[in-house]
Amino acid sequence: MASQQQALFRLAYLLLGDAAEAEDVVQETFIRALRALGSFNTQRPLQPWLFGIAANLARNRQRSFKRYLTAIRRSFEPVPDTITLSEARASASWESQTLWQAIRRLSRSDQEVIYMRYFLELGEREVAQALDVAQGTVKSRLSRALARLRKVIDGDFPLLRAEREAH
Amino acid sequence: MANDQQLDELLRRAARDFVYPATPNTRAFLHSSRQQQRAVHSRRMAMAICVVLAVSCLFIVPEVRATVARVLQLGTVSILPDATAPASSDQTRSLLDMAGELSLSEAQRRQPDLLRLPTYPADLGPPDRVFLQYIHGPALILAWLDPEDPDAVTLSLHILSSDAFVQKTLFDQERTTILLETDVNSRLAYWLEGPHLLENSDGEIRFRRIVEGNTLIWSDDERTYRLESTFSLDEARHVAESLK
Repeated sequence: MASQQQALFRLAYLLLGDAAEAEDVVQETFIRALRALGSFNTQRPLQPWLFGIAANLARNRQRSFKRYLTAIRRSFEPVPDTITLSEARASASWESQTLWQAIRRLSRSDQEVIYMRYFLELGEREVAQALDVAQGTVKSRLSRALARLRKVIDGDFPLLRAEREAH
Repeated sequence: MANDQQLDELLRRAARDFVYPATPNTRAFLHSSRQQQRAVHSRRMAMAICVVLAVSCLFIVPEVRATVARVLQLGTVSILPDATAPASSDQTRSLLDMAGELSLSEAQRRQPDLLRLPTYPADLGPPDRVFLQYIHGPALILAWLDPEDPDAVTLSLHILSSDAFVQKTLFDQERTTILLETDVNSRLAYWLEGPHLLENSDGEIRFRRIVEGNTLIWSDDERTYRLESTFSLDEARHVAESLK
């Protein structure tokens, strides 16, 4: 089970944006999994089951009061000025970080399906098992999530759009 | 974003280049947690029994029972009694101070599924100010201003997506606030009449806002709404049921 920790940590980090909280989620995931291991169907793959637990824990944590208050405080702070395209290109990880910010504007379920499919490179079947939905639902959910992400990028991330179209 | 393939490529590249923090070592934790699991379970069970007993004792007191029963939840909005007086002006923020202002057409373009506009009163017109915030999901705030005082909001509609943050409404039941159960489109709704607090704050009490008017709170399957106005309950329900 411990061999799954990196993937679990990455999923939790993508969802929460905070390494310490992601670590807590991984630990709690293992605790819950150990507790439920007796009733786990060994015919099923372990990894999607763990991802499902971690995603649920991250969702609950994100809705916690402390995070809500922090987010509210941020919402009253002015949005920092955007950087120029040349400054942006100077940063190697700028594109992935900026795209992550765009994804974080989406709803929780949109984020989950994008992270699992692209960032963790799970197959549709594994995503369906993790999210406990039908495989067809994963396909339609991903399609809708990508459509919404495109809108967010077009509307709010002109540098990302320009960078993408320059390729 | 020109096409699906470009977005697909962008996502794959971003996923490949994404820099994660170092994965913490949870092996030691896992090892010890197996041994501690049984002890923790026993401790938690004991604590749970203590909590149940304590809460049961509290509920014997009629005042406590009444207060707890008055904590209400509708969609993403909590409504709860609060004995503290409304915050002083230096602790409050105007709704119009919020970040994320944009035009109505931009809001329509960005959040077509979330945006709803009242069609009653017929002469209401479009909102004067529109704010879009992303907390844990999108939230739209529409404000109609007093034509003679552009700093005064006469009507505001908050539309919170199901993933959006929880707003907390605090009312002082000992004072003038009235809380009524009502309905909008045959679904449960709450009506707060009289001054109350909308808490957008932390322990530092930075962003409490005094709502001077009346508030109608309701929800449908996907959104939670707060309508602040000086309207009567019947008028406010009429506005709520006119959303298109």
